[in-house]
Formats: sequence, structure tokens, C-alpha cells
Amino acid sequence: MYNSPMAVPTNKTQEFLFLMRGAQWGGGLSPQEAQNGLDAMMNWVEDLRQQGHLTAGQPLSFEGILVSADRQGTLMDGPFVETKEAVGGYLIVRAESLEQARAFAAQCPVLKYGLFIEVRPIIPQCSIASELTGELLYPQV
Amino acid sequence: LAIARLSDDFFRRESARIVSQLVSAFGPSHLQLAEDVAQEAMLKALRTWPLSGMPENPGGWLAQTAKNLALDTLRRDQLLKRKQIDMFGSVHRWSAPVHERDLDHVGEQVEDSMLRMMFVCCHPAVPEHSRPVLALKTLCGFGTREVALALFSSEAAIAKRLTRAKEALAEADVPAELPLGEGLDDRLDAVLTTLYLLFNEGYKATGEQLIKADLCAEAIRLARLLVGMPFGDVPRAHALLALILFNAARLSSRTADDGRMLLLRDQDRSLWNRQMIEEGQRHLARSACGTKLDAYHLQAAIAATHCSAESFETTNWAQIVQLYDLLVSLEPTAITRLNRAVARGMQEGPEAGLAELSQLETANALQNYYLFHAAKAEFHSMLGETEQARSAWQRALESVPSGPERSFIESHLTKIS
Repeated sequence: MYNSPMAVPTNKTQEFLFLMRGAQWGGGLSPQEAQNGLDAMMNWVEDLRQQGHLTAGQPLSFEGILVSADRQGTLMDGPFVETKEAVGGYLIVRAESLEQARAFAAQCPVLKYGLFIEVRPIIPQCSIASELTGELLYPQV
Repeated sequence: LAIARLSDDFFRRESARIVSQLVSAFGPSHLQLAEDVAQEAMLKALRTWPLSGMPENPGGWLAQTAKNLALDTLRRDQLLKRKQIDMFGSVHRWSAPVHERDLDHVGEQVEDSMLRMMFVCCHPAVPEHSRPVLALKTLCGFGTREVALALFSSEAAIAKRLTRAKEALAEADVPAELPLGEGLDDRLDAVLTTLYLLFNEGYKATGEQLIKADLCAEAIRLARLLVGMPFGDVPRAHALLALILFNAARLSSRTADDGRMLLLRDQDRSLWNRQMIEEGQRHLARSACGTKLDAYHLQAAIAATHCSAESFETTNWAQIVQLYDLLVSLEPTAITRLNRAVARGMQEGPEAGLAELSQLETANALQNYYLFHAAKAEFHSMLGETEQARSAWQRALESVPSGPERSFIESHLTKIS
């Protein structure tokens, strides 16, 4: 997990969830290509972090389950996500706009190996509501 | 903030290590599985490390991941087949988690299993010419292209040999345990060839770097280990070790401070490693027994002659030419004859060198061999024949792989124009 002391949240920025999709990306790479890809990818993440844009990130295990119910309400679970599109991990990135977030994602150096990134704005909590909640939950003494 | 960086050859070296470990545990018939899980572990690292940060022990992480993947696959196979009872034993042994303590010893274990696995890859069931190919590709982490260059063959031909070798190993169901003593004699030559090629690849690396020191060091380590074993303590193995040591002793003087490649003539001989040369001489002496003169003997003697010369000018070229004469009678290949032509040119003058090179003009193996054209270029330059030299350097440039050797040839071309 990246704890980013350099992240400077300002009023102008907003958080985005980067879903790293494509479980099989990178298949068939030679050791040298994989090594180059890893170096480039580490640099990309590190650059985001150093510029204060990275809030968090974590890989996800693929061995998960999908829980849902059918119309009769019977619970079903199973790894039903198509591996081609499965989420392999996420980053939380701070950017000024969806456009800037998109630009960050577009610079990811391993897109050409089949990874793709879903960029989703995280809806910020309304500031008045959060103040109220804060007062309710933690009344100031 | 500096981010942890892996060495350039990390994945390739670790995959080779993992493959040899898994094959020793599960048997050579599972070579394909071992290669698949090594690849999968590497890709898993690629997909997760950028998001989670580098693990503290990247090599251990890869080994553990590959091991788990292999066990998953084997368990699945077992459920399907319910046979291969002997496998249960190995699965059990391998199911134990890798402890930190074990990881400290992984290096040692692999060191041992590396040589053992070379003997397994050189099993008589594998076609003779495929043995070193199999060993270099699966154990030493060579790419198909590197093997092809090392053996003067095409990538397609090497890929074909590799497939056949793997099929042969799987069909013969070769056990990972080695026979003792005499059972290994028929494999020794292929193992020696593998070590020879491994060292050469390090010495004259096909990649960006001129010298891959870790490949050279590995070849030396394995060769020393080999001559220390009863079945490896034979004259030709000592000769090979001597040859490797003589060349390794000169490694540090082969590149200038700026990474440029230096020819024998321009090397600072005070940088040569005296200790290695002495060790080489001891092994060369120990190789001088028995009834058979091997190519390794002659090549080691040639290298020894270079090592004992005070300067390039005082090199005993007459002796070197004599040794090459013997070598050509033993191995009348185009490459050997090319080397003799160069030595003769040094002893008798550039005309003699060119005359001998011209006899090789029709040799297929040399048409696209840059050193053949580079040798011609050198001799033409020595005679002041600029035009011929230029076109020979041009031919050399067409066939040289990228890297320091290419820059070397380019710098000669610029100098001429």
C-alpha cells in the first residue's frame, strides 16, 4: 500500500479510481520484455506518487467470488467475471479533472501489452453533510 | 526517492533458477510445466509489483509463486489421473512453506542442482546436437536467438531442436536422479560444450553489454565444481577450465572506461588477473595426461600463449600458428580456419593473412560472420588499401548484432572516411 506523504489535497482536486483491467495482459512476453515493462511501470507509478497524485494502490487477487442472487433469491457465487476484463488491482489518483486523470492513465507504459484502465471519478462527499455527520458522530466537547 | 531497481538480467536469471529447481524436484518430464510456471510467476510480478511495491526478497517471491503454481497444476493433474504415485512424495516435500531460512540457502541448493540438471539435460535419450541447446535454453536462461548465434544456426532450427529435445525427455521419462560414475561418461562432452558456450556467451555477449560477468562467473564456478568430482576429473575437463580461466583473466581489460571495446593489442596487460592465469596454468598442466588430444587442450594452449606474452609485440605467433594447425586438423571448420588465418597474418604479415582468408571466401558459415569481414578489413588497412578495407568494414557492419561490437566497427568506418 502506498502511503503518500507528498499528496497535497487541495479544493481543486478530486480523486479517481483507476481499475487496472485485463487479467491476462502481458502473456507471451520474453523475460527481457517483462523486465522492461516492469521497470517502465514502476517508474510510471513512482512519478505519479512523487508528484503528489497517488493516494493509494493495491493489487487484487484473482481468486475471488462473485455473490449475487437470482430472481427467486437463491444465492449464487462463483468466479464469473470474464478474465479478459477482470480487475487486477487499483490505484487512487488525485487529479484536477477527468481529462487530467485520463491523461495520466494514457501514459501507462504497458497499455500496449493488453492492460486497460477504467478511470472513474470518486464522488466526493458533500462538505456540509460531512460536517454534520462529523458533529453527530463526534460531538465536540 | 530512489525506487528499488532489479538487475538487468533478473527475470531471465531467476526463471532459469526456478526451472532447474522445479525440474530437480518433479523430474525432467515436467520441464514444460516448470517453464510455464516460471513464466507465469514473472508475469504475476509484472502485474502486481507496480501496484504493491517491490517485495523485500524479489527472487524468493518469484520462487514461491512459481512453486505454488506448479503444485496447483500437479494437484489438478493428480485429481484427473490418480496416478504417478511417486509424485505425491515430491508434492509433499514441496508443499512445505518456504521459510526465510530456506531462502538463504536457495542459492547453495541451486548451485548444486544446476550442474546436476545439466547432466540431466544431456541425457543420452536427447539427440546429441540438442543437448547443449536444451541446457542453455532451459537452465542458463538463454533466448532462442542467443543459442542460435552461439551455435551458428538459425532461430527456427534451434526452436525445432528444442521441441525434439523436450519430447525426447518426456518420452524417456528421465528421472532427476543421476546415475553414478561411469553412467555419466557419455554425457560429459555435452556438459563441457554447454559450459564452453555459457562462458562464450558471457565473454562475447550478444546483448547491449560487451561482457556479462555473471554468465562468465557461473561457467567458471560450474567448471571448477565439475573437475572436483570423480567423473569430471578428466584431462579435457581440466583443459576447458584452463581455457575459461585464461580468457576470464583478461576480461577486465577488454573494455575501456567509457565502455568501448579494446582489442588485444590495445589492452592494458597489467590489468590481467595473475591469480586466474596461474590457476589456469595449473589446470593446463593437469590436462596434459591421457592419450587423447582434445580441442580444449589446443585452445587452452593458445590462450596460455597470449597470457604469457609480456606485450602484444612479443607474442609468440609462431607457436600460436602451430597450435592452430593442429586445431584445424582436429576440427577443420571454417571458424577454426578463420582464426588460424588471423594468427598467420600476425606472424607472416597481412598478405599471408589475406591469402588464407581468400580461401575461405566460399565458406557458407562465414558469409554473414562479421569477424570474417572485420579480419579482412584489418589486413587491408595494414596494407594501406583503404578502399578494400572500407568495403570489408561495411560487410562486417551488415552482419554484426547491436551492442559494443557494432559501435567498434562503426568507429572504424568513420575513421576511414
